[in-house]
Amino acid sequence: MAAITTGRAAIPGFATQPQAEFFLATLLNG
Amino acid sequence: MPPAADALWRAGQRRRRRNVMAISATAPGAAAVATVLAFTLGGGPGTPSGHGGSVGGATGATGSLALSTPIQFKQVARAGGPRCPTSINPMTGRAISGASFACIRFTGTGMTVTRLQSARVQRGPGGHRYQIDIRLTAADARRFATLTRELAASTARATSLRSSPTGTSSPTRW
Repeated sequence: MAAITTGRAAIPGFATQPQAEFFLATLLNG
Repeated sequence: MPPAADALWRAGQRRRRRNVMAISATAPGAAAVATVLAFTLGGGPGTPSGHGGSVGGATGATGSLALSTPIQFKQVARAGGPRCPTSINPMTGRAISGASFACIRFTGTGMTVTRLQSARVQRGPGGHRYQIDIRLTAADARRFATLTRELAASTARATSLRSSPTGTSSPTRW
């Protein structure tokens, strides 16, 4: 099996875009 | 992949907690790579709207992004039954009630990311849900590759890692 070399990943499973945006904001800004 | 983000978001609305969530990696031929994202949600009371500007736009941000809460990628030795002895849902940190939840067991090898090259919100593969697509910095991408290469070599036990010449490009154990 090949290793992942692209350096990309995805955090899945958000029901709505605002939820995903809120989560991203929390990740970046606390 | 368990749809745990909703539970995480709801948990973040109530109080800070440590959560663990499996992520999907977007590399063809590496579907069995099992890393885990662990972080702390800094959620307080509020709504999920109105944060677009704070992330550099409505759906994402680019450049070298400092994370307020580091992301830990951990190798997963196994996921599934039997139930974890602690009976704690790894997605929410809460005690499990009712039906058992897949238990995630780590190898003890992982890496911590404190900066991202970019992050953006996008629709998931099915088009009905959303996901956060993240790109690691070049240095972290190399560590990530090493981490997944180690996992590909041994998926069911902790691995011993080689040290890089600089000491900065290898995953760590904890």
